[in-house]
Order: sequence, then C-alpha cells, then structure tokens
Amino acid sequence: MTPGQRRWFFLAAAAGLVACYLWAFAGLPGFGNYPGPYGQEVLRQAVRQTHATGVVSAVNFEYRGFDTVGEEFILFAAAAGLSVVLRRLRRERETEPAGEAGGEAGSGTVPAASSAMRVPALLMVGPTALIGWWLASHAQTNPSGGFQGGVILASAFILIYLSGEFLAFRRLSPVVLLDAVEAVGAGGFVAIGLAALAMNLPYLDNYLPPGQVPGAVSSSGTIALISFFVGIEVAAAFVLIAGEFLEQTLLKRRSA
Amino acid sequence: MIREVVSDGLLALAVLTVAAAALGVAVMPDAYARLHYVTPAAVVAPVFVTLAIFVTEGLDHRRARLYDRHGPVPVARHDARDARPRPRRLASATRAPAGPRPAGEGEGATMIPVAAMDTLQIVALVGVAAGATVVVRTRSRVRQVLALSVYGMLLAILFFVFQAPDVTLSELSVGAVALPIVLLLAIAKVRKPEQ
Amino acid sequence: MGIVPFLVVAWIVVVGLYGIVTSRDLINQIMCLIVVQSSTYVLLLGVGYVTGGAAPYFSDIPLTTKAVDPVVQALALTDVVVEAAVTALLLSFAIQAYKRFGTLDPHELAEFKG
Repeated sequence: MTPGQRRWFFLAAAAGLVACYLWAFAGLPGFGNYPGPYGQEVLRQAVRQTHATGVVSAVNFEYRGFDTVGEEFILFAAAAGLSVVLRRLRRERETEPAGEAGGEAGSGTVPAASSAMRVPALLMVGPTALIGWWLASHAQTNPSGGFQGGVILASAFILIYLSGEFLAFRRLSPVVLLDAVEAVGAGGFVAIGLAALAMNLPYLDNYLPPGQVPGAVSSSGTIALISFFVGIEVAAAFVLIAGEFLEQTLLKRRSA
Repeated sequence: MIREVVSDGLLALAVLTVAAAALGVAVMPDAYARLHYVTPAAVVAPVFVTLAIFVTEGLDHRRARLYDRHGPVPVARHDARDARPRPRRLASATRAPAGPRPAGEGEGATMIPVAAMDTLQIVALVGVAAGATVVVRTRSRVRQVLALSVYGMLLAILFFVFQAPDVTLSELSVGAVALPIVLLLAIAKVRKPEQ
Repeated sequence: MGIVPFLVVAWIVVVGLYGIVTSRDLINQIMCLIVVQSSTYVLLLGVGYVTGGAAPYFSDIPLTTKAVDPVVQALALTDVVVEAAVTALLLSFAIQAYKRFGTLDPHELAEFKG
C-alpha cells in the first residue's frame, strides 16, 4: 500500500471515528453540567471525614487509594523494564567516564556546557529540591501531592547534570541507592495499607488520627504519609530513567 | 430465564478462549508465536464478557442498581419527562447528618464572571488544538521536542482555566523536565553514528 | 460552549493518529502518541467541570462553595506522571531497535522478523 493510499484509507477511517465520537458526545450532559452524584458526595464528606482541605489528594490517597497503588506500580514497572531493556548488550562496552561531560572525555561529540547554563542550574538545585520536598509532604493542604513533588524533586537531580557535572550526578545518585529508595517508596505505600489490615481494618483504611484542624500539616491521617512515600518513589523512578538514558548517550559505545 | 442461559454461554466462551490462549502460550516454541496467542485472551474474551453483561443488565443505564455495604440502595428513578439526568441523592447520604448543602447557582467562588471564564476556556481550547496540529506537523525531531514543550505549557494553561491546579502542576513539571530530557537523550543516542 | 471541549478532544485524537500513521520515524511516532494521550486529560477534565465552580481546595474558601469534580482531577493527575514514564519505556525500545537494526523507519522495521 503506497503512502498516498494509506493516507486516504486513514482519512476515511478517521471520518468514521469522528462520527462515533460525536454520537457519543451528544449523549453527554454538556460541558459544565456535571450530573454525577459521586463527585458531589465526595466534596460534601471529604473535609469533614479526613480533615484534609485538598480534596483531590484525599480522593487520590484515601477514597481511591487502591487505584493509586496500581498507578504507582505502573510507574515502578516502567522504570524496572527500562533498566532491563537498556542493559549492556554483548557488543557494547562501557567507556570510563573520564573528565566532565564536555570535552576531554574522548568522544568530542558532546559540546561543553556554557556558563550561562551551568551557573543558574547550580543555583536552582537547592530551591528545586526544597520545593519538591514541600510539595510531596503537603498533599492535604493545597494543590500538591506525591506525584508532582516527586517529579520536581527528580528535576533537581537533573539540574545537577545540566550544570555540567555528569560525574557528580552519577555519584549523588548511584543506581543501588535509587533502586533502594524506589523500593522503599513503593513498598511503604503497600505496607501502610497492610498495617491497616493488621489492625482489623479494611486495606488502606485511614487509621492515623485525623488531627484537630482541617488542613494542618499533621492532620489527615495516612494521606500525608502515603503522599510522602509516593513522592520519593516517583523521584527515584525518574532519576533512574534519566540516569539510564544519560549512560546510554554518554558512556556506552559499540566496540569495533 | 433465557437471559441467564445466554449470558452463561457467553461467559463459558470467554473462559474457553482464555484457556485455549493460555495453552497456546505454554506450548509454542518461541516468543513471537507466543505473542500471537496473547491477543485472543486480551481482546476476544473481554468482548464476550461485555456481551454477557449487556444481556444481563440491559442497555438502559437507568436500570442499574447501586450498592453499598448493606445491600442495594433505592435510587430515585428518572422521570420519562426529564431530558437531562439531575444529580441524585444516595440513600446513604441521609443516614449520617448530611454536611453543609452545596451552594446554589449564583454562589460560585470564582471571582471572574462566567462569561469571561467561558471566553478564557475557549481561547485555551483553540490554543491546544492549534498546538497539537503544530506538534504533529513538525517533522524535524529536535524542533518537535520544543513544540511538545510549548504544547505542554498550553495544556497547563487549559487545565488551569478548567479549575484544576494540581493537574496543571503535574503537566508543567512533566512537560518541561521529564519528557524533554528523555526525548532529547534518545534523539542524541540515535543520531550520532555508533563508534 | 456545551460541546466545544469535546470537539477539541476529537480533533486532537484524529490529528495525533494522523501523525502516527503518516510518520517515517519511530521517535516522531512516539511524540504523536504523547499528543493522543493528552486528549484523554482534556476529556476527563471537561467531563468533570461545573459551570461557576471553583477548584476543590477548601483551605481558604467556605466549604459550601460550588466546586468542580475532584475525582476526575485525581485520575488525570496520576495519568500525566505515569504516562511520562511509559513514554520513556517506549523510547528505550526505540533505542534498542536502532542499535539492533540501524534504522528507525517503521516501514523498514516491519520487514524484520526478529
């Protein structure tokens, strides 16, 4: 089938798909007229029951905590699968990371990072890590949570690489430590749920005291704790992913 | 009576499909032939199960029953005159003293009038549609990564005017940091000739 | 205004699929797949929106204010982060395919048998 025929075939099929979409959307109650009872019910009960003013995080980590465990394990499996797929093949060898990622490594194909990039990146590492940590531990009060905080915490490590120091990046985030942190994060979430089982409560029930004031950092029971564990797991997964890709690009060479 | 028989037959077909696929996966010699046998279990069996559900429950969503821990909950049925389903009160909500009732039509917390919010949302939606077109039409790899980052920012603006600040935060951090770094590193890996 | 977001969703899906079908480069296809995935986020948030509703965070607004649906926001939020990791996995497959076969053209890759 030539590309032109393929294109026309696709356009015909896409017309059918759009027709089905429009038929489906015509059955929806329209944008802005949300009819469903579940969302309104959650909004009514969430702050009173969990003392968490961030209702989305309460939904994520308590009302639908079981779904979040599944999503987190998708992330875990993706990071693990990536490490397996990018393993060293038989025909490759790993060069020694001599010197910085910018010149005297012998490759000559990686240009040196300019000072205009290195200095701000270095300056932003601290604040970025702090912001990521803050976001991961304040899920119950404002629009934050483990997932966003974890990605921003990972970006702090990536900024270390961007400030020119691949060796520093590798030394600060060795693969063994990252694997351990990721496992602690994922396992911690599951362990909190299992501890609820040990107390004769349903799995992932919220058994810690909900606290006095809705929206304080120490309130909302297990939500804050779970969000913290999710944050470190997501951060470790993304640093692992970035580290694997960096090794592929900078270190691994095919032997002649 | 006949509904039960038909749905049981469909479920039995689904079980047989999965069993045959499992047998195929176990018996085949190499990985590629095995992959062929996973498809029927993943595609055909759920179709049978869905058909069984349709046969049992019917296609009318108003006949669906709601359950809580103590059994079925009576739900107010829709009138035939209702054009749009209204929000239903669950019986479980009346057991405990219900929380404060939600505000009425004109008491939203947004400071912006609804018309201005609508305009903002339409502008954001048009921007996202245009951004998607630009991303797909860009063929050079590195430029497409940059277009994807801009598209991520347009999406973040859209999520913000849809009153979802946490999804905005996720999309910003992922679209600005996580996706570009893996994409650019992959492009760098496949671009230079292997030494 | 009733159906505009859903039209945009349909457009994004079709445009992304068009990019996947007519592309000659695996990494190009992966980026068009990212576009298709983003349509689901718009759809989720569009379904849960309430006209005149505020964001569902009650630390500074009274509990009785009308708010948008928090459940679809929870879904979209985890969705965004997890699909970034899955995209990274897809890219690692593309890298290994390039190392093994030397090409990233899907038409040429389809002819290899393993």
